[in-house]
Amino acid sequence: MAERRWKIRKPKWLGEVVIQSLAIVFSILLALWTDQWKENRKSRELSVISLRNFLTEIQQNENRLDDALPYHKGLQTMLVQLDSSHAIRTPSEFQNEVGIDGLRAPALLQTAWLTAVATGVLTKLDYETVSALSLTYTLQDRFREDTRTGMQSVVAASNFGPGGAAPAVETAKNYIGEVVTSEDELRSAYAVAEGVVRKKLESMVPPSEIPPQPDSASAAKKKGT
Amino acid sequence: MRPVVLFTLLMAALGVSAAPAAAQAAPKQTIAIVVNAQSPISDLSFAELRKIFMGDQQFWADRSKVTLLVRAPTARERATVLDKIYKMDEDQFRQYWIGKMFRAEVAGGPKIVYSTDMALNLIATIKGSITFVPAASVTGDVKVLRIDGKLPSDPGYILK
Repeated sequence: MAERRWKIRKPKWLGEVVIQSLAIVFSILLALWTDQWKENRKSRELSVISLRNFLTEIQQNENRLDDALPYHKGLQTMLVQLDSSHAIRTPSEFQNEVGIDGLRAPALLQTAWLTAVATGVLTKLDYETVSALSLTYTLQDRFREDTRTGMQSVVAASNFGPGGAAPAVETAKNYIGEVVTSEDELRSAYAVAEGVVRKKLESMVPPSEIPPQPDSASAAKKKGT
Repeated sequence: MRPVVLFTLLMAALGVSAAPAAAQAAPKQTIAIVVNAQSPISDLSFAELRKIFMGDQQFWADRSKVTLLVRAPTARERATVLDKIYKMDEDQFRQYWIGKMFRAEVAGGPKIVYSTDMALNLIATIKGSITFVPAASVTGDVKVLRIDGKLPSDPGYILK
C-alpha cells in the first residue's frame, strides 16, 4: 500500500530534474576547478620566470662584485701604504695617486626585485625565498647608500688645503676599507640567496630549465672568453 | 637604477671626461705591457694581448680574473694604446665598452688609473692585473711582457 502511495506521489520529471541539477552543479564545480587550475598554473609560471630573473640578476651582480673587488682591494693596500708613508702633499697628487672615480662602488642591478614588487609575484612565493631575497636587496640598498655618502666624504676631503693631505688619505683609506668589507659581505649574501632561489627552482622545474651554476672561469672558457 | 645614473657610472668607470684631443695628437712613445711580478705569464702574442684588452679574454690560464687597468684620457700612452691595440678613437672606445656592458659580455669596464705611479702600484698589488706604461717608467716591482717574443727595447717591437 505504502509502495503504491509513493509511486503515486513521485512525479515523472523528478528524476530528470535531479539529474539535470547534479549535472549543473558538477559543471559549475568543474569550471571553478579548471579556473583555479589555470590560475595556479599561471602563478607557477610567473613564479618560475621571476625566480629565473632573480637567479640571473644575482649572478650578474656577483660578477660585478668579482670584477670590482680585486681593484678595490688593490686600492685599499695602496692607500694603507700612502697613509703610512705620507707621500701625498697636494690635491693634484691625491688625484694622480688615488683618483676619485676608481673608488666608486659597482652599479648593482635590482630590476628583478622591482619587477617582482610591482607585479605582486612575491605573494606567490614562499616565505623563506621572499625573506632571503628581501634581505639581499636590503643589504644591496644599504651598500649603495653607504658608498654614496662615503664618496661624498672622500670628495669633500680631497679638496684639502695646507695640512689636509693626511686626513684626506685617511678618509679615502677608511672609505675603501668599508667598501671592500661591504662587497665581501654582499658577495656572501648573494651566494646564500642564489642557493635559496636555486633550491626553490629545482623543486618547480627540471634542472635543464635552470640557469647553470656560475663557474665563471669555465663558463668563460666554454664561451671562448 | 635610473638610466642617467647608470650612464654616469659607466662614464666614470671608463674614465671619460672631456677627452682631450691634444692627448691623441701628442707624439707617441714606446709602451711596455706590464703584469704583476708573480704572474706566470711572460710572453703574449699580439692577438692574445688584443683579446685581453678588448675584454674578450677575462681569465688567465690559471683561472684567475684579469683586471685591466687603463690610463685616464689625458695620458699620451693611452692614445698610443687606443691607436695600436684597440684601433679606435676615444668615442669608439667609450661606445665599445658601454656596448659590452649592456650586452652583459663583461661585468665592468677597464679600471681607471690616473698616473704611471698609480698604475705600477696597483700592478704590484693586484695579482691578475695588466696595464701599459711608458717603457722608460718601468720599475722592478712589475714584470714586462714580451709581445710576439719582443721586449720594448727590441727592434720591431709593436707598441713603439
